[in-house]
Amino acid sequence: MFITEILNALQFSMTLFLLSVGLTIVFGLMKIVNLAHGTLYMLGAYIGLSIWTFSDSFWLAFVFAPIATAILGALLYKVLFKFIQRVDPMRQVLLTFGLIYIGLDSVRLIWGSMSHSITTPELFSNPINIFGETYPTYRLFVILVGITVLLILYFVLEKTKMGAMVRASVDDHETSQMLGINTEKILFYTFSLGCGLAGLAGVTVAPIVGVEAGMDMEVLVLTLIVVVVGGPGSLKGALIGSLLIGFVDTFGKVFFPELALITIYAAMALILIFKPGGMYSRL
Amino acid sequence: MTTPVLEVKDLNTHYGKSHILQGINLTINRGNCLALLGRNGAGKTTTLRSIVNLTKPSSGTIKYFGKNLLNQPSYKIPSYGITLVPENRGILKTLTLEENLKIVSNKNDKDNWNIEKVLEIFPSLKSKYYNNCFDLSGGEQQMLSLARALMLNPKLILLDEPSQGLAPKIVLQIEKVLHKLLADNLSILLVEQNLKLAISLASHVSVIGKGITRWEGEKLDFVKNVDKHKEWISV
Repeated sequence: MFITEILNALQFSMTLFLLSVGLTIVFGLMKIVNLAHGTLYMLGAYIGLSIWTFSDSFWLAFVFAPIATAILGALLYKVLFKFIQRVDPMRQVLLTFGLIYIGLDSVRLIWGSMSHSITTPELFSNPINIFGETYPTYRLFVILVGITVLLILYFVLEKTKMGAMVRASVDDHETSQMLGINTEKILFYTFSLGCGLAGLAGVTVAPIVGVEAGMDMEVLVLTLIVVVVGGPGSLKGALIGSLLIGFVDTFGKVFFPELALITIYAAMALILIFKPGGMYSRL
Repeated sequence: MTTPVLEVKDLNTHYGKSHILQGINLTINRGNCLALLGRNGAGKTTTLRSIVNLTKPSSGTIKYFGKNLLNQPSYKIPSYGITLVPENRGILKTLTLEENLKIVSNKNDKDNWNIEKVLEIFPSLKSKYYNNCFDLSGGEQQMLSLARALMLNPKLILLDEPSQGLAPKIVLQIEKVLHKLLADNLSILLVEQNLKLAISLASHVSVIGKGITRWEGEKLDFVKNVDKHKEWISV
């Protein structure tokens, strides 16, 4: 029972990580909270659903749904987000909040308001026995996807010049420009990548949580909490925040089921009292 | 006559509705240092920021070796050979000292600046080379900021208040380096409250007050008639 819950918490944490990492770095770069980030997660799941339905291959969906949401993100950036950087937050919030509704209605229009499901790929159809507890192998796969993305991002951000340029731009975009870094371009690619990762999260958890209009709102609040708790703008913050919220939520439901609705908010409040800038914060 | 490194004419810049720069004129020649003097809020920093388009000028001309710089994106300007060393030094604090230097794209010609060369002129950076930049002292930050600017192989550095908050010993050290750079034909546009340092480095002086160039000329003329400029600078 205990191992199952730990793995569940880890799987949930990794999903939150995929969702929050793009959001947090984009926030660090352009000081904008993209409330429509959850919408790209939902679209990842829906586009994955269509690819899976037509091709009968989960793996095609797994590869191409994130690419599709990354392209969608790139378009959104070019027509909208580029123009609302560094404007007052209220306009950003209203605009990205509007996108949520457009996303919801578009999904209902294209895929209908019924909820759908994607069958777990055959490779992972049998559960596995871990220390005497059976556990669905697909969930282990989700954990693996999260860890893989984490390692790749860590390597790129911390060990390559490109990554140093991204960190530099988050740190101080004016100084970065004075060193010849095209911060606008970095922002564009990071934004698109973040949208792609949201899509990846959507298509990856679709076989577990299903595909339905409104799934975006369920994760949006959690993702925002992860960003706030972790401390905006950093990979480590996204990881720490995801693990914290993933575990508190999962174990909160196990140990204090009657408090399930408030445990993560309580955790967030506690952390913000002691660390107002988040767990991993430069403030 | 040779083309000036930088020639600014009738530069105007607005912040929202306020008209900050209302006619800035300045000229810098090769290997010269122009000291831009004026009271707080006169528009010195805004002048530097406008030249590199971090604050967008509303009108005027900015010519660099005769080439128009107005409306060029900021990130392209360093590749022409101009960079800004800002007042806050712009140290990238999530990067190590090494990364702060290596982030600059640098062609490895032997005439160019490289990491060995910049560490040679700022030896105190060596011991912190692999450190994060959180705990650098003010002096070390200024040295790193200058070292990093040199990695771009600039022909012109816009230097904003390099001595601010530094111990006299460190100021002296930085002054020496700047003299050496000028002797090597680098040009500097210097904003500096420390008049002694400014006069020591500059060959020319430009006095600005309330966003307008009030006087421009050779250092000696400025020093001789320093009392005349009291209206626009704090002597």
